[in-house]
Amino acid sequence: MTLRYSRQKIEAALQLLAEFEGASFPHTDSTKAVEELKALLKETSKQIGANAASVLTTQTEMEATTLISEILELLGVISNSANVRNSFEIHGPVHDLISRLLGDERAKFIVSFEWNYIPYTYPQTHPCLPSFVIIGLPASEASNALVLPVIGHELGHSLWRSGKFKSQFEAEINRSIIASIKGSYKSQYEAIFRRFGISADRCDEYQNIGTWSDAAEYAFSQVEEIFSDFTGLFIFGGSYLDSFEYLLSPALSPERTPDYPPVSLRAEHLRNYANKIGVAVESDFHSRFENQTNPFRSDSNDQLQMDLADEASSALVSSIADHVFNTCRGRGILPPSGDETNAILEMFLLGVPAEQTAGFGAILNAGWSAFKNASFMPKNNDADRIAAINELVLKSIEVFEIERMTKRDPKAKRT
Amino acid sequence: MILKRSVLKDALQGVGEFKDDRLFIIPLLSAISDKNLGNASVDLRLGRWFLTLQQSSRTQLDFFEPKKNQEKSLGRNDFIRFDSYYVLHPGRFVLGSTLEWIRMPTSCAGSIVGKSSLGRHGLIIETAPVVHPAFSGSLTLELANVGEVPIALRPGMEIAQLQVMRAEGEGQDTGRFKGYRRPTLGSVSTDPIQQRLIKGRYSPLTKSST
Repeated sequence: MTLRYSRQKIEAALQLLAEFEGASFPHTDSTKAVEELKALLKETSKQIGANAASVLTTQTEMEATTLISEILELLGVISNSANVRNSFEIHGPVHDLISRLLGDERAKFIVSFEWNYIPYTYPQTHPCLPSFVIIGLPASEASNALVLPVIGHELGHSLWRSGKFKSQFEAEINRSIIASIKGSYKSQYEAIFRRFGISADRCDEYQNIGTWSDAAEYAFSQVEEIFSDFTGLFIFGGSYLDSFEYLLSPALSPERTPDYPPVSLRAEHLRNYANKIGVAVESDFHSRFENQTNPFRSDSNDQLQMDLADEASSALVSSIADHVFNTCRGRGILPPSGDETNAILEMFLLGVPAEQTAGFGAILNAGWSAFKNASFMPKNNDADRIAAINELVLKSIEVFEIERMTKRDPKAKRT
Repeated sequence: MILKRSVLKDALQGVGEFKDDRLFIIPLLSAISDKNLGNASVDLRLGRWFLTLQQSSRTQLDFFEPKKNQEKSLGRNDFIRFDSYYVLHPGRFVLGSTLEWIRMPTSCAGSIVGKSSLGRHGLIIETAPVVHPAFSGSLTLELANVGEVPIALRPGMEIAQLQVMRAEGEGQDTGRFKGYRRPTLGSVSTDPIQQRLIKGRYSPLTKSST
């Protein structure tokens, strides 16, 4: 009976996908995603047919149900990608940025939104859509061009998975934690290891007993978040800081989670390293974020694990920044220039979009500069000002793409 | 007086009398081929956004009543890729916009005219052709197919011409930050004279004019 049910569930999912095939998506990558999901489901259907009389049937049926579950989640995102709340104009320029950043010409990109306040990504490693970078913005902000720089953070997650960063930092994190256990946390660990009859000096041999594996996992997540923050900072400069503050200040919750550094610490790292790449930032930037409380009892093992993770990730900040900045530079990506941002701002203050820009990072920076500029629509409220900036920013991004598509020579005479 | 090619160039480059009050047409794709800059007009292209009026449960559109969120309830936005097209069927109407963002100098007004070659095939473009001094934004185009066969509207296609003429005297200009990149329905402002006409003998105008 279960085989019959599995076949029907696959058939129902295929019917749903057929409806999506007839949908009109603003960009072809969404259509391609639907095609790939359909092919994947058909392949699974074939496997079920082939294994109908074998002991593998149950396994295949379970895999089919899992696949349908994953596909439904992805279809929700793909469906939202067709909603006009999205900033469709960014697709081409972001797609190009992804190709350069990941060094992958075949990378595909879907920007969408979700009914969740926290921006999210399916990095370019999703088993169902391995060549896709999928980014979702909070539904309430999907049409706000000023939050677009947070895309840089989400791209950082794909960059993290695309290179050797993961394995490189894994080794560094382990080394760092072991050094902490043998150093500042020696007394606590001697007590823990004593219970197992082990010297703290030999802790690197005993990760599997779980005495510091949680710390390694927390640190690994924290390092990925810092890595992604620096990616956003490098690509989008000051506008990344502005959108980070807009979305995350004072904090998403009073209590931190061990997988992320506290938001005020993330802000402090951003402030410190913005200066190093020539991005202007106020010295009190990090003070606009709340000091989140710890989720654990101060004497608990969980707290110890988090402390170890915090120490390990903090020790690696400089190394993370070097990796991100050098990788971006090596792939021809540079932070937006201040001069170009100012030139675009002048256009915005005249009420016209920018033309002949070198990149859309400067356009987003100019958008934030206009928002902070007291002479930009001084008599209007913020909602009206943001609406006007949206039009200017998104039209400028479209113009940027059109100029690249038509290969216009910026030195050519205009008329 | 319509600006001819040499003065149009000055207006676009912001030189001479237009030094502090330029004409912006962004992107000015005519720079790719000078042929677009006609003797006394600039060719404009079709943008990627369309606004289709939808069937509605409303019994009528009464422009006398204050309108709130009219566009949200009446129209559906579509974004069409450059490699795709919007099909306008015979007898149907859609709003499009120019690909170009235009900002008129305060000293000039504009007039938008559909391409005659398209009009001869049944595509009627724009029935409210005046572009006011200091207007800023993409122009909303009223597109109707009065022909016999469906017409593929391709973003990027040349669709209209903009003529620019001098505007003299003083007057209140359109706000420079009111522009949109997408077509808009706009709203019909309430006319106080019409209000008085409708209210008839109860209107203050009538009372004071005995």
